[in-house]
Amino acid sequence: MPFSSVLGASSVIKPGVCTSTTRPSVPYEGQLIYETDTDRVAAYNGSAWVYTHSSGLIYITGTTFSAQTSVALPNNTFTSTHEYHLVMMDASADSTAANLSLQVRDNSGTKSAASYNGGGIGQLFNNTQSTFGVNGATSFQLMQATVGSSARRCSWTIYVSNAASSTKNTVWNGTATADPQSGASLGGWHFGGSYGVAETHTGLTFTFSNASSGQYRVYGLA
Amino acid sequence: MKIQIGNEVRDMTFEEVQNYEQTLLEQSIQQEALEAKLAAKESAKVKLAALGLTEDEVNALIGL
Repeated sequence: MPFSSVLGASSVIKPGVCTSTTRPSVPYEGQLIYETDTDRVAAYNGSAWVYTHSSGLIYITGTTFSAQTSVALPNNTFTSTHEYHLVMMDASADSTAANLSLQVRDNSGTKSAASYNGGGIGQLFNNTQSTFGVNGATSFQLMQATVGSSARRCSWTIYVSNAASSTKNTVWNGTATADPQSGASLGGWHFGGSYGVAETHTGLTFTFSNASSGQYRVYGLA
Repeated sequence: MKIQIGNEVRDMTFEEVQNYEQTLLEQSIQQEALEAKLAAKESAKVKLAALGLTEDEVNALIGL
């Protein structure tokens, strides 16, 4: 057996590396594992597995996307483990400027009832301020006006509350910023909204009006 | 038409295509409303200035 099969990334056996569903069945107190599906380190305390990093912002998931118009967080991104979630995303339109909207979703798909409410206030690069508000829309627009011409990066920080609750409305607020550009294009934006149906949501769906590329990261607040 | 869920990219279902098109329609309506609002604001500034208001007075009136 070559040495590379015993040690390193090519090794046949990787002690302590597993997933959250394939943890050691008979662990010993003090045993450490790394879960490849949660990207977290856990220790066995004699009666249960506990994550070594279990307070503050906990990374849940994230990925990149390229030339997409519809991007959704994977199933079960939002769970009752965290009451609050932080979604950070940045993107730029590939060739034609794009607007971006948000919708909540559960594991069976995107929620498109006419129940999105909220508003925002923003600063445009022509030194103009603007506001918007929606009631009973089927989506919530995270940014208005021409927001992402080619190679012009925009970023969003979205704070989501109550998503996993079946009795509370999912609520979000956040900010958007964009690379400088002249004219009536967005510089900074603050928004807040809610979905008017109290039900459990496990993620978000983002819709770009034109193909865009970028990345997102989701964190839970423990 | 595609949707990326997590790392998986797949074709949209019929319902997802409908939802996508509805969302684009809302985006378009909201953008037109915003542009109309901005145009009205600019027009108001010009007319108020023509009435003799200073720039500070105009900005105070329209909330800047």
